[in-house]
Amino acid sequence: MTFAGILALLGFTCGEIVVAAMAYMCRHWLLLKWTISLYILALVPYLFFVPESPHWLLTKHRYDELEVLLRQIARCNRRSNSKWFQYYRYVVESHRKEKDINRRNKIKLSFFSKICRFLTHIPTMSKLLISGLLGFVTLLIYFKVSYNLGAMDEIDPYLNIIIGAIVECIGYIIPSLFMIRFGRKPIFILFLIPTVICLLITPLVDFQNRFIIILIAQLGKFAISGAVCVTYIYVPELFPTSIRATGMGFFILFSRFGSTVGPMIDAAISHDRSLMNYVYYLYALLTGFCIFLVLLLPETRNVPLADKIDYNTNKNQKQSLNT
Amino acid sequence: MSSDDENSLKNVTLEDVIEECGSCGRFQYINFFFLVFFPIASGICNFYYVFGAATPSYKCDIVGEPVPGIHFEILSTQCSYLKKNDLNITIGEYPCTQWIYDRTIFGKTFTEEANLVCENSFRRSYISTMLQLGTMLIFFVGRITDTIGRRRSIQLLIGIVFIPSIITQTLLQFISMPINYK
Repeated sequence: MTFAGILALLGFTCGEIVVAAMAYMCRHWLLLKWTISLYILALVPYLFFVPESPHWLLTKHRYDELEVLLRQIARCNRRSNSKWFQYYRYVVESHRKEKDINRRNKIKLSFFSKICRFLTHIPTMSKLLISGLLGFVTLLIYFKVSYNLGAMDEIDPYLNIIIGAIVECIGYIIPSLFMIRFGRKPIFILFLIPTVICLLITPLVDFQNRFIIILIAQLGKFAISGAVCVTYIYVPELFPTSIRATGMGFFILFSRFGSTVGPMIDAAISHDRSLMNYVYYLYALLTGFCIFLVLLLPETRNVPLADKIDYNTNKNQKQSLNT
Repeated sequence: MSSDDENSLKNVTLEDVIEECGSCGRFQYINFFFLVFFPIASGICNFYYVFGAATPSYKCDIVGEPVPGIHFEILSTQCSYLKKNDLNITIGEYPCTQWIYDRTIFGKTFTEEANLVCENSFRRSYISTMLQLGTMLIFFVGRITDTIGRRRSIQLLIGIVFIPSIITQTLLQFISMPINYK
């Protein structure tokens, strides 16, 4: 639920607008590539100034670099050195002690039996598989809808993509605001239902008024962008901290499978109209299946963030609430 | 330190230390500002496919000198044409090998460059597939950032994005090569 996460998503939509503007100016595929390379080249100088993450430095016990970084932050933010340095010394010492305690308290299990125990833990495996499938379907439909905006006959692709980016922006902001109050699952289902409706209607409005086609397409983009935003916040909260990175990695892997398969299917059947309609209905069916699957997952609003997988109910857990 | 100080320091974490250094000050704003350009680059690269590999409208282009007694009829799919004689009897059906593309909307696209239409239309998705395969590597990036740190990871990844594309672009631009290699 971080501000940085939302900023990353909004940056992505900005990128869509930027590439549409760049493509409008250089109507040539190689020239566009050079322009993009120029943009990345402009970013390279900042690479020398990227700061390291202080939390990571602490976990890797690089206390000297951490101190240098903290001094830099304090100097840049114009805070005096006295107060934080006292806190800092205490944190470092307690961290050092914790490291020694942890080393002694680790349960000794072989690597193989750890894997076995993990794979047979049904709640975690079911969460992994369901979130993978959710990622697959949502990103499949997202890229289908987004790429389609630029490939419609008779409709200006540049304008369509730019409107799509703005619509996507709104689609990222609104669920972020409402998830705090209403929970992740209801908002997710709330955004998947218009997706299903738009997917079902799109084949039917093919020969209608231009504005209706654009409206349905943009509505679909709005709905699927909201769903994608919810998954990026919901899925990390499903997993305890120790396997969150693995869970997220798995989820993103499956999502990108979906985004690979989408354009492949599109390119293979683009000339056959009736086949395209069937594919739309198939996607609508898949989305409906996702709605059903999401009902099986637990709600994570106001639920304490678990620290480790709970293999037996007697383990202690550190608690911190997520809003 | 006196016992009072120790008690007040009992629950101090790194967050509190950073809070004292200023958790939302000039340092953070400056870095946020520059870091936002990286997702923008991600959006740009993801949507290049829409413009660079777009399919403009195309017409079959029949080459060769006109032969008296034979006229050609292009099928509506623009993928093959019929050879007919004066009596309108079809002599044969041939696939199109050259097309004329409409450059008004997209300019010259890679689809035109490599003639990725009709039978080859499936290959157009290979471009998108390559991009998505690259993004699948995010799975490993999480592990890598944990090992070598965020700063080194960003530098490494931008290098990986930038250098091969510069190499391929230079080759494409300055060396003329047959379409199959492209």
